[in-house]
Amino acid sequence: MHNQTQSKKIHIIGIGNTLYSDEGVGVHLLPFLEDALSNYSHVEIIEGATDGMKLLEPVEEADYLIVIDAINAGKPVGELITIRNEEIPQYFGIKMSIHQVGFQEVLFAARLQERLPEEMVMFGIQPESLELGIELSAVVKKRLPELVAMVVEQVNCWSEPSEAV
Amino acid sequence: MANRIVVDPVSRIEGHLRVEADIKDGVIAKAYSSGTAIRGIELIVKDRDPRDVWAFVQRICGVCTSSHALASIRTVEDALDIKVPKNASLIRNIMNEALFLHDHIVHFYHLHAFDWVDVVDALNADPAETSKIAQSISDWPKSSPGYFAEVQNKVKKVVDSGQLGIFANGYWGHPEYKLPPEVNLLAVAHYLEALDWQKEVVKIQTILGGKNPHPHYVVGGMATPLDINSDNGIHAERLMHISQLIDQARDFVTKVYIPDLLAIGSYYKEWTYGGGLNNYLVYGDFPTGDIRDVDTYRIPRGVILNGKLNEIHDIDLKDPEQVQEFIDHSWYTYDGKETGGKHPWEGEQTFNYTGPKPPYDFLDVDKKYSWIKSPRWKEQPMETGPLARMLVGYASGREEYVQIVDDTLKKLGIPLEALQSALGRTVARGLESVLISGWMRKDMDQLLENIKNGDQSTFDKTKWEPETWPKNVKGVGWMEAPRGSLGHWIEIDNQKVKNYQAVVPTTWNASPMDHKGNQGAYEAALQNTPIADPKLPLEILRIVHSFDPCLACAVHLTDLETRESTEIKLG
Repeated sequence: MHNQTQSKKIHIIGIGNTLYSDEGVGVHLLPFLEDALSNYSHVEIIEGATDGMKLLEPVEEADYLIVIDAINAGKPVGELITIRNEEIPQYFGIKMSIHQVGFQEVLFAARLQERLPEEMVMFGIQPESLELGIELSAVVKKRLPELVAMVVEQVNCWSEPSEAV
Repeated sequence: MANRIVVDPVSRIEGHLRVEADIKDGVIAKAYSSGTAIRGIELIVKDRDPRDVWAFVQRICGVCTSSHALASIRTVEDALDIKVPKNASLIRNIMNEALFLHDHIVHFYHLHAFDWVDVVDALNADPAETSKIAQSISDWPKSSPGYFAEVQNKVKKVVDSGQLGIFANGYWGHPEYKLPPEVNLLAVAHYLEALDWQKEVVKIQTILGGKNPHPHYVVGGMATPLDINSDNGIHAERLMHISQLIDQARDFVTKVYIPDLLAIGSYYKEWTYGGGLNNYLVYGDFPTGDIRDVDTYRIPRGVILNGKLNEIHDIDLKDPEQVQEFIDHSWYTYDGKETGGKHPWEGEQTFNYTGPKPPYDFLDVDKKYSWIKSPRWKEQPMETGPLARMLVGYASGREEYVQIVDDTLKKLGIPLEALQSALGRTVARGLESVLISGWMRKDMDQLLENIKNGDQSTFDKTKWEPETWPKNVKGVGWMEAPRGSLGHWIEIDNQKVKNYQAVVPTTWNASPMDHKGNQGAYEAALQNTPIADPKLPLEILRIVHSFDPCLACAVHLTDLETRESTEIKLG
């Protein structure tokens, strides 16, 4: 049966700068996702780092998009945050994520081209430290397994039953 | 009473910029440029294996990843006296050329164009008229009235939705916008086309470097697995793909970017502000031989002082008296002292913040006011970047430079001095793109030729093992990055990094005053510019953006009398 429907493409983009501790959480999470999602052929994991327009192609070519970043939402340190679809650009105004300027532009460009993904979810963690350093803070590190689980759950939710492993 | 205008940081990566400008009688009396984010990469790479440093330093900046990687491997190769195979040099050139084109075109259409182009006014255009203009300046195929009507419709949808996104931050309707609606529409159409174009050109880097945004580099050559007969690696089909991408990139530069630039520029040639220092610095790059052989560079090396094109000064990056970074107005100490200059090999990264406690209204510009140091060449401030490169190339009498510059001046009907302006900087970036796209073709042809002749080597391993290295060595790696001359200095001791310093283009251009009170390039460029409306400082954006600062910034406008503050983000 599962050859009946062409599975939809899910792109996961991790953004952040790994030189500034928790700022890089979106990138630090990717190896764990590679492991957790290694059997999902319709999922592509992209290291977005601090890139701007170069991320337009992975955004436009996704049917479903997951973005992972450090999000400053004024929440307790280490809190997990989920933002969906239209809410994502709206948070621009209050500068929740350090990379939203660059990434916001990418989303806007995709919208102008009428190639936004069908659905988008942004997962993030309230950072503890944005100081210079290549390690995550202990608080944020501890939450990574939960963040991985949230991403996997979202991927399963978007996948055909036969693809969920 | 004077207004002070402030450009404030949004994020934390290198290049975060704040400009405070005093406006008197509608003109910028004095401007101060401040970097408000620290850059501590020098501390992060200390004690590491020098062969790994490129992978860390490429994260200094999200936009210039491969520039820092290349400067870093060059500094290690200089220290260890490693010569890379010809193919590696060609591949590095091609990757850097692709980066330049991507960066320059994204800058022009997506970061800078809206300082000159009024997007909202494009809705007033007659698409048939735009089509006529388009066809009169280029044979680019997408130029029918129907095509431009479609673009106009897309813009209308966005404007009608009220969710303007990045378009929301423009000063639409500002009296300094001079383009007719039809030219505005043309530029908006090509803004959209450039979005698609840039997705293709980055593939050159992806294929050769293995991965974008963070391609793989290696000390001693390139990790690119050239093998025309294999199923994996860079085989014949992939090489052909790169070749096609190069031709497409060239086409866009000559048929879209340049005609647009000239069309837009012709409406702004009276706006001659934003020149500044008239000192230009170029390390040079794009060798056709070994990197040590400066004479083979297609971007020639040199310094121009006070706009005097009849004399080009040579640069020695190892001479302790030439490149020095001063900290008299920067939040650092050197050996516990508040002032002075150091050559990067002796460089020191000791933070010492003495500025106001945030949130603050203004910096104390009489004292220290920036995280950016003040690099100087023989104690003089310098501008680096496309304008510097075009002028040094022109002054050196290089034929391709002289020809394209003279030809462009003639088309625009402006004298050579007019290039020393914000518009001139923007034009120089375009002209440079033409030259670079030509070199990219030549480098690729040479690479294909070498491979055809059986040379597939890209890596020299003779000095890969640390046991082969001297106990203590120093090196410097230089390159031209899209924004200007980039240098990385290293000291290797006992196989580890003992000291590392990067002096980046934005540090030259955005530097604060130095020990002699000389302003940096942004500061000098802003001075004496009339500001039509201090609440909408379009002129400041034009000038600062013409240097292509790394990231988006936010402008704070603060009126001293009312303490009213508006925040405007810039793309």
